[in-house]
Amino acid sequence: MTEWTSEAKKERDAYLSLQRDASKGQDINAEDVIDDIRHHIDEELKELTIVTREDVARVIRQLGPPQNAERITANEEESRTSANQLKKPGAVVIVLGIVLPLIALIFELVGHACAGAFFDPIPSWWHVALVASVPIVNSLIVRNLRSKKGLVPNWLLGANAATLVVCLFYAIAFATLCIPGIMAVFYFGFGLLPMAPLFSLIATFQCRRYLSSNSSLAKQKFFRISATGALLAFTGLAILEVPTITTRIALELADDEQVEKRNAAIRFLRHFGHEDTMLRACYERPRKFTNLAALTISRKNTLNQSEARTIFFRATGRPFNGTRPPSLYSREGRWQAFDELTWEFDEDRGGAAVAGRVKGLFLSGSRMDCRIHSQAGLAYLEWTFEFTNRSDRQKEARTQILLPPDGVVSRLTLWINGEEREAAFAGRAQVREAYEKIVRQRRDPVLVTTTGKDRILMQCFPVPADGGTMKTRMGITIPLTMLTELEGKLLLPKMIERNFNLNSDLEHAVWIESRSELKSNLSALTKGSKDEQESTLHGQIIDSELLSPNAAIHVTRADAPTTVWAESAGEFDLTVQEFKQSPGFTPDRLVLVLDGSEGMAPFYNGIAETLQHLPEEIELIVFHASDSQRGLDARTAPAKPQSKTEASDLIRSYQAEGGQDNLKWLVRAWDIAAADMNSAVLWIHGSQPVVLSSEQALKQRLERSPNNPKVFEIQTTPGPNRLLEDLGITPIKRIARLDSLSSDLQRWIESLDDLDGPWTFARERHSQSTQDEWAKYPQVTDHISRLWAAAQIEALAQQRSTPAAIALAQRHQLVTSVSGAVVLETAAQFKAAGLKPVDIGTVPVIPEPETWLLMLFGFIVLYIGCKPLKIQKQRG
Amino acid sequence: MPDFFDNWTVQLRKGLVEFCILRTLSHSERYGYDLVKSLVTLPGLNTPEGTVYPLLSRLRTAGLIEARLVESSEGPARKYYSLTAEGRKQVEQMNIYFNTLSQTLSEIGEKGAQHD
Repeated sequence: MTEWTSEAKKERDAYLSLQRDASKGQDINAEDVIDDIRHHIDEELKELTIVTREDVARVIRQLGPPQNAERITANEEESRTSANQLKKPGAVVIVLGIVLPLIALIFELVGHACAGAFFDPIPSWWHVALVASVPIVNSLIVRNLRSKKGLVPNWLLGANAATLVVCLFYAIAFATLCIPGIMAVFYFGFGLLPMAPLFSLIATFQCRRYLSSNSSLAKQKFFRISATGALLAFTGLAILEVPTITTRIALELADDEQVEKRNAAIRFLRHFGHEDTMLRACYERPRKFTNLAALTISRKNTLNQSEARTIFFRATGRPFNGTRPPSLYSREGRWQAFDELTWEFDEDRGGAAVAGRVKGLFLSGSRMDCRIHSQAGLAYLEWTFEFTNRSDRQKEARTQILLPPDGVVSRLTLWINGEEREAAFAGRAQVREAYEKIVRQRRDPVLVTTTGKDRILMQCFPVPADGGTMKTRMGITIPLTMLTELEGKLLLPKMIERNFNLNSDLEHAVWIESRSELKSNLSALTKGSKDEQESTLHGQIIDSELLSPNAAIHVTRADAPTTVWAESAGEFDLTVQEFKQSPGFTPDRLVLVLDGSEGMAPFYNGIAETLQHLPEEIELIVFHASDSQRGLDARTAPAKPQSKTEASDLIRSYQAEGGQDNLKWLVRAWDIAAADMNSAVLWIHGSQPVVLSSEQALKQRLERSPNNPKVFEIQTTPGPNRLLEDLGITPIKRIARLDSLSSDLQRWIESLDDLDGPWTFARERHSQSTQDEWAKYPQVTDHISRLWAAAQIEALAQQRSTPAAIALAQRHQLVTSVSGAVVLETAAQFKAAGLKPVDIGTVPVIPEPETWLLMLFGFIVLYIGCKPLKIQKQRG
Repeated sequence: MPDFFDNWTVQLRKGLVEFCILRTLSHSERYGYDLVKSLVTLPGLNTPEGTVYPLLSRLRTAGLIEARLVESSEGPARKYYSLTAEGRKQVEQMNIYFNTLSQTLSEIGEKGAQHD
């Protein structure tokens, strides 16, 4: 039953009264007309429960002004035009609802002004479509209302409601920018764009009023269509923004002071986290948003980059810089000025961390030249890097390189104005200070320091802007990893972390030469012969091939001597190297710590299978380093020995998720192993880009009792290991990756069963006076002296004899845990830093002149020098 | 030029609304409200709803149409309009006139005006 308000009745009666007046004196029955119109109004409003004055007014607007039948045909158009003048949107709606949002959208799309300075309002093309819908729908409404028909299709009512929701959302997001916008207009005369959403909201609402007054639909139907449009827009926004919003909230909770909240948030992020949002947080500055949802809902956004990067690892199990950085940032045209204020600015420049990927910086060329000295059981490899910078400002290239086991950097070169400059080797603090000072002056240095055992950090600056290049080279002395008495492997260095991208067509040009037989599993490397004695392996390999264990080169040392010796340039002592089998090691107890991080899942079955080959007499305890074992505290986890079958079944049942804290489980494993006199800890793990707790507890144990238990580690996939970096000099032994994880583990397990241990090179120093004693053995390259020195330096460092260790490193020109290498641009810079670059005559080269070659050279010089004398004598 | 077009369309529409009412009713009897709603949506006619009712009254006074009330379950009785015999005769004459006019216009469009 429809009820009429008194105002509604008054409105109707007033209109009917006017109609009666208009019908007077005509050849029509006024009461008939009034009766018909009354019926008409009743029909229009019959679906309403309560009829208000506005409802009646709407119907009356459709009916038009009271009509005189005589004048109808004559004045019909005139009356209609005057009625419609009130219903047609004007210039204000066109400017604020169509032109302004369109300009704002195009401006942001082209210039990324807001994205660069504040947050990204259109992070996807779906967002662009939503924003574009505002001027499009408004223009359609204006066009329809201003047309002669003046009719608007019903769907436009829904579209108008949808755009109202979009405008409201963006008006809220931009609310905080409106005040600066007003101030900018006041002071500079521009700055309207931040207010575009608010103005569009007003204009769109105005369009709605016009639609309402022109619509012939019943109020309920009008509402139904509008609600559908609004709901669709809301759903669209929710689909676009809910993952981002929930991830934002979880990111902040993951940094909460309460452990329970933190863990719950991490679990949420692991299952539902929006990766792009997490990645953006890794590059954002505190209280600076790159994301619309973050701005809309964030409570405080005090999350800093470091915390975000930790959370990213805990949630995904991957380092944040292992992924391409978020794509939206300001770079174009006039907004360059904002670059330094945004996260595109490399805040870690000159620092000791590789940190996030830097835009526009690429490794454009890579070349490895290597000579294997099979008699000496080592190789010398020179790796040349060429960086290109396509951005518009200077950049620093940083990369962490995993060296082969016991490898050491023995040369560093930088090309300055096309000329090679050699490095100065000195204490790491001294070289870093020199580097940072020169970086601040924006000149050309390159620095290499260690970042843990067998890990180095190379950084060079500046790679010039706008396509500029920078070229540097490092020489690495690498001992062969011997599998048997005759067979060995040459492991190649790998970039495990970098702040630059690789050119899409980048290949590492590899050239390896030796007098031994060489083999490779990589089909890209082909065999060749340099001459009758020298064989080569050469080709181009892509970075993923270099990172794989397949990159190891198989070397056969047929007839290689067991004892060799070498003189060292500028040294009086001799280095003698013996190739022998070390004593075997079979632990009574083995505590296995298995990383529970996401990337480990594919390896669990293989590990479970391989453990079956463990010698029977070894007691096995397995720990799964994972926070998913609720109620199991790493500090008090029981030391329950398991049979091989039990352990294998257990490992197969493990679930790997997120990034896990391995440290506390390692400490627990060490404690359990240390209870036995002859025990070992084996840590099988993925990349450790983040350390989630303090390393001091483990460091203390390893320093105080380095020999028992013995700790071994093997990494499943290439990547940084912050834990090992933080531990520094450590007795943890690395199991080299030469093949699949199962094969490498199997090889290690087999070594536990041997009475005799692996074949290794032992180097000792002897006085020059004993040279006659060693003369019967082959003299080889002085790289064996460098390897001896590298081991000696680490031993001195462990004894905290740092000055002696640095002096030895300087003499042998090595990058070690106590020393680094730096190339500066000018002699004055070296002098100012208290450094001296190495003499070019003392650096290793490829091919290194053998002794007989040097003698031949001497003879030639002598011959040429004597020849003029002979001629003179003949003439005389 | 838009003013000329607007004035011309106003002139052309004079009388057309009445013709449309009669022609609609020549097919069947119609409920007044429905008749109005169908006429206002006709493309090109541009007639406000309120203009139709006075015209219906005038046609009824002229004896061309008649009305009858039919009880409705949804509310008050509904007024249905239909043609009288006189009205039907008038519609036939109007149809013939309009068709001739329309044909003439078509011929002019095709050949242009010709004088014998």
